Amino acid sequence: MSAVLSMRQVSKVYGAGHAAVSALRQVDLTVDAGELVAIMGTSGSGKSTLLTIAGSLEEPTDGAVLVCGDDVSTMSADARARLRRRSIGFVFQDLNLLAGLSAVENVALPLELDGVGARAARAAGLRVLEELGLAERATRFPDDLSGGERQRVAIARAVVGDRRLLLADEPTGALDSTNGEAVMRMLRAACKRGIAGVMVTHDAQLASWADRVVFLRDGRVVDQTAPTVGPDTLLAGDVAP
Amino acid sequence: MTATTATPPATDRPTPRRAPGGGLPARRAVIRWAVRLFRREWRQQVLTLALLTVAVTGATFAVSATYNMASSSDATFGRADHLLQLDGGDPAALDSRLAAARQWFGTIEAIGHRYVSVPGLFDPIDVRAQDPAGAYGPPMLAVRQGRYPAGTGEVALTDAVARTLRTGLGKRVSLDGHDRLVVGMVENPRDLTDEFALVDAAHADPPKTVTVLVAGGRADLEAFRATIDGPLVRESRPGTSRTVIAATTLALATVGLLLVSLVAAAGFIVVAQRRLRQLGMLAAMGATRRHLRLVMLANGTVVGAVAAVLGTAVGVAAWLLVAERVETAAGHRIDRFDLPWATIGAGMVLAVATATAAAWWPARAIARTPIMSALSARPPRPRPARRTAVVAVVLLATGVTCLLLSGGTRPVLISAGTLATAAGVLFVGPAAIRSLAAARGGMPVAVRLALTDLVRYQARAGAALAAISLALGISVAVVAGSAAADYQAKQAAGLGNLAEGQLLIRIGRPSPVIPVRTPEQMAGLQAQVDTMAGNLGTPTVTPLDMAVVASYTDPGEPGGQPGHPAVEIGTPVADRQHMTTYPLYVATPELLRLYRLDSAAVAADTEVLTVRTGALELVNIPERRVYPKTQALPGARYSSMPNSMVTASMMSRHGWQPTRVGWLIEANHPLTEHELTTAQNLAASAGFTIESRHERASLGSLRTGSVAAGALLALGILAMSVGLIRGEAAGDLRTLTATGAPRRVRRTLTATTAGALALLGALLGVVGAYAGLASVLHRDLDALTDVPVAHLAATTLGLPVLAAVAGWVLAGREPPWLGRRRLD
Repeated sequence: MSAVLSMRQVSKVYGAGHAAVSALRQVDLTVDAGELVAIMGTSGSGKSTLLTIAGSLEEPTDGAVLVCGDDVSTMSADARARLRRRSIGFVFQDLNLLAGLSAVENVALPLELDGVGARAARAAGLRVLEELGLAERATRFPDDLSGGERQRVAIARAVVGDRRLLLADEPTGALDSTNGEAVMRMLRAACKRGIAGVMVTHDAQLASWADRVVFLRDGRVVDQTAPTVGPDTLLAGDVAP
Repeated sequence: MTATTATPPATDRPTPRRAPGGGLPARRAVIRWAVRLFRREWRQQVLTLALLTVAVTGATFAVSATYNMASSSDATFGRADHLLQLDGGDPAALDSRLAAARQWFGTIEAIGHRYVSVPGLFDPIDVRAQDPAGAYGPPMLAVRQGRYPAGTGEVALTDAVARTLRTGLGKRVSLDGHDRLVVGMVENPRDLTDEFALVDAAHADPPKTVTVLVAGGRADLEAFRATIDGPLVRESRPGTSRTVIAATTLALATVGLLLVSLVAAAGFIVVAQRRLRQLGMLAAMGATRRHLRLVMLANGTVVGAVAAVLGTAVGVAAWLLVAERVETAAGHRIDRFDLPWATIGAGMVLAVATATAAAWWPARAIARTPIMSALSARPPRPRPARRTAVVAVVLLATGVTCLLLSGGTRPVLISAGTLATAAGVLFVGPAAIRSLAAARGGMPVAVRLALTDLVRYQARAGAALAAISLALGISVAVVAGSAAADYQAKQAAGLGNLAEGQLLIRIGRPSPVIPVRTPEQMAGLQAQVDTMAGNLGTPTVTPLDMAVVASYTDPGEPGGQPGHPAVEIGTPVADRQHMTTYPLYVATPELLRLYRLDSAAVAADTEVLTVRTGALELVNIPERRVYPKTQALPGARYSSMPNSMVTASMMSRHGWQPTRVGWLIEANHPLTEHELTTAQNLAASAGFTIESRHERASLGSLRTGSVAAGALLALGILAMSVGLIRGEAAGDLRTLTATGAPRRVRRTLTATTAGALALLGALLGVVGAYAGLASVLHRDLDALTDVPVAHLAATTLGLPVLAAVAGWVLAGREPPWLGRRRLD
């Protein structure tokens, strides 16, 4: 397996002087293609910061972040934007879809931003929505979708195209357990197709869907473990061959 | 639910090679989203939209009006390029010159004029011999009723001439020694004040003067002039066309549009802040800064386009509605559909460009916001106020300098100075907010929190303050400017021409030659005046006499009566070559009584009593350089009153004779419209001219309207931005509520935010407006001493109080988002 995400000695400090806060301290993390890693930790442990730095939304104070082998810190702003369009998909806890665009338009948007024609991008978006069982919701606008549907459309958008890295920040935080589980199945399925996934969660049960769980405390990686009930067990019988 | 696929998504990317920035597909997607957002959230921008629409409406209406209201040189030149004025006194010479002109220019059109005196009228009637189908003249002639005259016995008249001659269509009239049938009512459609009687050119009497219309270049005309012996009066069509005038109006409207765009920019900042999280999401998806900018620019363009279409439609519709009603004021016929479409189109393009430009700054700021700040909707860290204060000082200095240099007469400098001053006031905003917040110590907690939030959310508060300052600044500039204009007008005109109960009657029109009248004629005129006075109750009637040089008889106008020159008093104008003259009345006891004087109050050696100062010289007399000894005339300063009088001793010394020229009637009540109409009718029949008080256009309603408009706009901006700022601070409010803060605290927070922004905006607006006006009027600062206190108080005190009260009242209901955090 090749590493899609590689974080080496990454540190992040917010503020300066007496007001300085270390959100991450020399974190090392590697995520391979097809692997789903859950990040757990208490509030303020640096989970979300790790995710945003991995996704090039923020720059680390120190250390290196490599996505698909490319060092993000040496990239220009436009190159990082291109990387996000082509290789990284985000799923946030809320505010995932752009108002004013239908579900399929939301899914197709990263492709269009990358220069794919509207028709081809829409076709690709529809294909992904069909694969995720959301074809009948394709023309609905975010206001007309339930919370669970919105998250699933967000996952569709995060995996459309050649995405290699899927970053999810509390993706089920605003959902009930049924919808939360559906979303986790989708994430798991996406990783099964070869995408590297990193998911931040508070919920140990959801973390058990991951191949590996990384524990953060005060900005440091304090433990890594593989869940006893592995994802393959959870998926057994539910996932079609 | 099943959700699975065995197919890797790598094949979803249809095109392997794409532009680095996404190229056209990316731009199209971003613009599509911006348009969808506008359609979805246009209510958030309704104020900006309304403001731009009003500006475009005003510009379109102004351009249409000035284009059509501007007097056209067609009124004089028809379709010709030049005109020649030839004297008809010598028919042979006239024929010779006409032949020469025809030979030189090819096609010419000659219009003959005879000036016929009519008993009881002072201005002769122009009997015009013009061919309605002439080469160049048709634009100057139109039939309103009937037809053009044909043959010696027919004539067509303009309305006023028909009224003067008390005749009409189908009636007969004796004119210029001919008995003629009125066969038509005509006019010069390009100049409705051009009054004449039209006769058949082929059967007209020899003209007194001939206007020759010719076409060709200026050089051609001058070459022709060189072939003519003696003087040749000639005139060329002026270069300024209606299109140029309309374009100039558009240029002035552009300044207004730019000012509006500054307010629009503040509106776009608020919109950008509202969309911050969505824009952050777009950036997280891989949108570049250029894409983010494009979202806001596209929004500005859409707003500008909608405003341009709506504003133009309303402006044109308004013009079409009023066009017919302004023909009298314009003095010519108006084709309501004859509009400068190219200029109007340019105005539309300008509106779109202005709105797009107004969106540029917010777009730039949003694109530079860190993605995580945008996603969490955290406002950007307030910039040091020092930086914007420096920019403000530079802009204000530039603006004031431009306005000082303009002298109030150079449009380019005035425009540049106004824009720089306005921008300078806007940049003062952040420093003003911080200064106010710095004074919060010792105030109640809710007030302190509200003022602190203004600094915390400086981007939003600064934008709102800028827009409010500008709106109120424009309003105050109109208020103070109109007060200054009133002051200057009052200084120039004193108390006006006459008091409300006064009626000045003159025999005929004011002239330096007083016709000789027989005692019987004078008795008849006196009887008419008595009749007029009788209609006004029991007024005081004061006869007015002027001193005439009886030893000299002036032959008068051709066809008019001979008379004696009236002695006048003059003051030299700046070039010392010419004089400004004023009538000099005889200081009769009755006239002196008007000024509450009697003969004893006049010094023995006084020659002239006058309100005028400076070097005074008597004119229209045989002697030269006679500088009378003057005595100041006290009392009211009505400009048309007999304000200079010559004493009896001076009269007898020079042998001048008093001659009756009019009467001053003073009623004991303001004259009514009916009384004035009756007096005018009597005066017309008697050959008098009468003068009553001219109503001075009051600018008071303009000031009130301006204050109201500025206040409404400011309140709209406050409504738009205060809610946003308080919404951002919802977390604090939740905390306050959780700790048991009563509803009063919530009310105080909103009221303080609204009141503080309104107060700062009003103060900055007043300071900016007065700085600009003082710069323009620096040579006449007295004009600004007449301070419109009530209007300024309404702006600086009333508006903040109103805003605070509105905030207090509207904040009473607990917002639905108070109990939980808002999602998307």
